[in-house]
Amino acid sequence: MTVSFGRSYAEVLTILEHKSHSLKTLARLSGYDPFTFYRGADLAGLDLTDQDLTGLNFDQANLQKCTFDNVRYDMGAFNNSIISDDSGIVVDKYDGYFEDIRNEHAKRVYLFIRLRPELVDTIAHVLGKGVSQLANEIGISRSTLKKASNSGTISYETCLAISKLIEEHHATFVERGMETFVRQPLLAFYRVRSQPGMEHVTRENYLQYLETARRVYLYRRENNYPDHWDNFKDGPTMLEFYRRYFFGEDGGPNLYDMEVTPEEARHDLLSDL
Amino acid sequence: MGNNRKRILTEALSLDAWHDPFKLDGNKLGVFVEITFNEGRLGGNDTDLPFTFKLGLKRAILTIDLEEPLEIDRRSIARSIPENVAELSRVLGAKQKAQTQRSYGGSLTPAALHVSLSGKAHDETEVTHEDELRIIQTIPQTLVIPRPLNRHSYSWTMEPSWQPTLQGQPWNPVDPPRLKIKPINSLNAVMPAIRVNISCAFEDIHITDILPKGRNTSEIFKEMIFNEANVAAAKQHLKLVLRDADLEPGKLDNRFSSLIIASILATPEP
Repeated sequence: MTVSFGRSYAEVLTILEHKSHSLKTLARLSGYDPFTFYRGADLAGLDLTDQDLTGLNFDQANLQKCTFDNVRYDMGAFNNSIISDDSGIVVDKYDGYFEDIRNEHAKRVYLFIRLRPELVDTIAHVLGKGVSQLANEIGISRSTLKKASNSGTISYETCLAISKLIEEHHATFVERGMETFVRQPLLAFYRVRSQPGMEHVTRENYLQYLETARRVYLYRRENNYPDHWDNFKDGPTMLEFYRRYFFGEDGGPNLYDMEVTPEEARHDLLSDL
Repeated sequence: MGNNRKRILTEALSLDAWHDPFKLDGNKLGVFVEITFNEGRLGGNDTDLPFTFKLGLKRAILTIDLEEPLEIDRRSIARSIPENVAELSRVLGAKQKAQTQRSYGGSLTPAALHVSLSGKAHDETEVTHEDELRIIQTIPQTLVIPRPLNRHSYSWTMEPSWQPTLQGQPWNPVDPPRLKIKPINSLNAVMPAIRVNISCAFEDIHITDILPKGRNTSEIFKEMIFNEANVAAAKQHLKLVLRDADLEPGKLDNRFSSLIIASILATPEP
């Protein structure tokens, strides 16, 4: 059932006086997309016992000191929230979205990705296809897709191919009621280090890498670097070096004097997505 | 959707800005900004709103943009408090610590700030009245942190030191100008504009006390006990509606982008 009214001051009272205390019902009353409704919300201290929170996402929401007894939720819904350690909610390292890599500068960031383990199997199940068939369809090898389904490290290009597959069959996911599963965060970002091998990178840091890559690209444009530099993937070490300068972790000056504060950059970056 | 919603966020503050008149006498021009933050009950006179509420800002950013060819004289920028950067970061750190330790619903008090600043293990309730007064007197009500942007714009982040939201005036509007402009060397019929913006992030909008209108007191008290979940969802909805009313069309997807709350041009003031 879609709710056709909404998005005006009148719903404030509707929500306030509604007899249900379920966050899901209240989000539907608002007329906004329930999935994104609680992003950035202040929900600290709420008693959410027995609530069904599936189909909701809580990125950047404050959920400290909430009671989560017997709560149902989608995996990953709380991965980017502010939440107490003893909440009992499973928070794992899959905090990235497919939208994060559908960015023109993502190809300039030399990063690897792991997918939520059940993702590939779910896609195969929803589309009613075998793994080999799927691999054929998106033009990657069967073993690579197997690796992706075992949460192995895959390249950005493979991940993009899988993302396109989900996009193309969006209607099927909606039909099967799996839409919110693929909307929740599903990716974990990794970078190559010589010493511990693969190193996990949080989504926040990944977005900083993305912004760094964008600025390095702009800098090269402005200073007439040859075109083939655009296709050059900056090595992880160099990118980390730039990032620390841009985001001021070393307290150093802004390397290229791009005249944007880290705070602003973060805001710009998030609004681009 | 109602389309004639007026910008309500503006009511969280009053803003005025002026500058010295343009003259070719080789003097720098001062730019002055006067801000007063008020946390008032809104919606009382507004027939569109079936309720009243309190609106405050947890943080705001003032930006002064000079149109080219005007340039900022970097040495003239008002750096209100951080004479001592170490002290400022100590205050900010203490504030953060006190905030994480407070119980739900409790607000940050000068007493709590004193406890975390002094690092003593005693309880908040043991802090004497004198200690509280000392905190109020030594720490400015609003922490102002300058943030350089470029040669033509400069911004200041304003954050309350112990209150939940910004209150009163963050600086003396007249005494030092916010910044000075380098002497100009030509006068045109249309002089370059000096724009003053106040912006904040979506998360920094602080809404409290939503009360339905047009009911007598006893009815309100009967219904005052709304469920916390409903209150939280209603606040979030109101925040989203306020944000949408304040956004430029076509920018509706800017979830975490900053909202421009107020934007005025500085006028020459002889």
